[in-house]
Amino acid sequence: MLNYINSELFRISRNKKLYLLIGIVAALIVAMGAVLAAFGKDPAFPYATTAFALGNEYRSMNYLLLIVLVLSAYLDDNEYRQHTMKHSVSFGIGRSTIYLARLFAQMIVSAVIYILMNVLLVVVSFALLQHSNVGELNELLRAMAAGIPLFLAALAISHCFIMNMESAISAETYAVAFILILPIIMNMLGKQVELIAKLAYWLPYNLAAPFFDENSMLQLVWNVPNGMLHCYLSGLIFTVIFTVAGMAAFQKREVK
Amino acid sequence: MEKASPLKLHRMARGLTQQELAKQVGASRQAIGSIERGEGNPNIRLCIKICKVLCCTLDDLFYNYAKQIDRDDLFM
Repeated sequence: MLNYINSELFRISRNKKLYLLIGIVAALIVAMGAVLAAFGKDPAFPYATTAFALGNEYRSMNYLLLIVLVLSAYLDDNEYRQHTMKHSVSFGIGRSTIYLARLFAQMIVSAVIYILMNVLLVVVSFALLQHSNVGELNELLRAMAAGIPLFLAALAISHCFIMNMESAISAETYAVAFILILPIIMNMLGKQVELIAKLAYWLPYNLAAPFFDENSMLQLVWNVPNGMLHCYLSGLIFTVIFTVAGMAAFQKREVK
Repeated sequence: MEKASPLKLHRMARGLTQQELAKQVGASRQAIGSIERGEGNPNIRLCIKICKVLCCTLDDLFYNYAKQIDRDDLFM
């Protein structure tokens, strides 16, 4: 297993498209800081602050789940078209090993990219923008801690579809349907049916999304009692369910 | 000069405590406090309720938030 994870990490480290994606995201973060700082020269412009820049991140964790899907597709790098997996199978490596090793390698790389991009965001924000000092850094760190299990769940969901479908586009469509569209539909239905609302709450997208509490204040689930625990539980449950289901389906799949 | 939240200044100008304002707009005292500290983000309905109670506009309370506002500017 460790050897396969190493080989996956090596393959990913040679993926030029992934470096391009990271470069574009990093450039966008720097550009955001530069644009806010430039507009901030006007004293009437109220958004050239660290609270705004970091707040955009920790109040949009649900949308970051969608970026995980893009990242997952880049990390997979269209293996089915390159037909490299069949060599691993013919070499005698078990399908469970292939499935799990690829997932673990992607989780490691994703976690590193996630931390690096957030560090860059913090550095750019504090270097270029006015310091708000209203606890925005602490908020971001809490959001990052709560977001990791949800992102890993999104990665496991995406991996489940990617490993079992030849077309990456079809796989990502199913993943988007599950991660984004299903929670939105369940939220709507949940306004009428209490049980659906309770189930919808546990979906990663809904846990990561901000909501208004009984005081009409924007709230994040990890800042309410047991919210952080719910994020970890949901992340764990969806990661396990989709990994087991994906692995079972992959056992029966023809690897071309 | 002391930089203060426009909400706090308008509330004090009306002679209201955080608790009294919170009661009139149907929110908690903590919610009003977090808005005044610039930490909380109220929804638009709560913002409008606050404006009605304090007899001011949304611009008065929120648009000028980042500007250097002090008591003299507000009460001159």
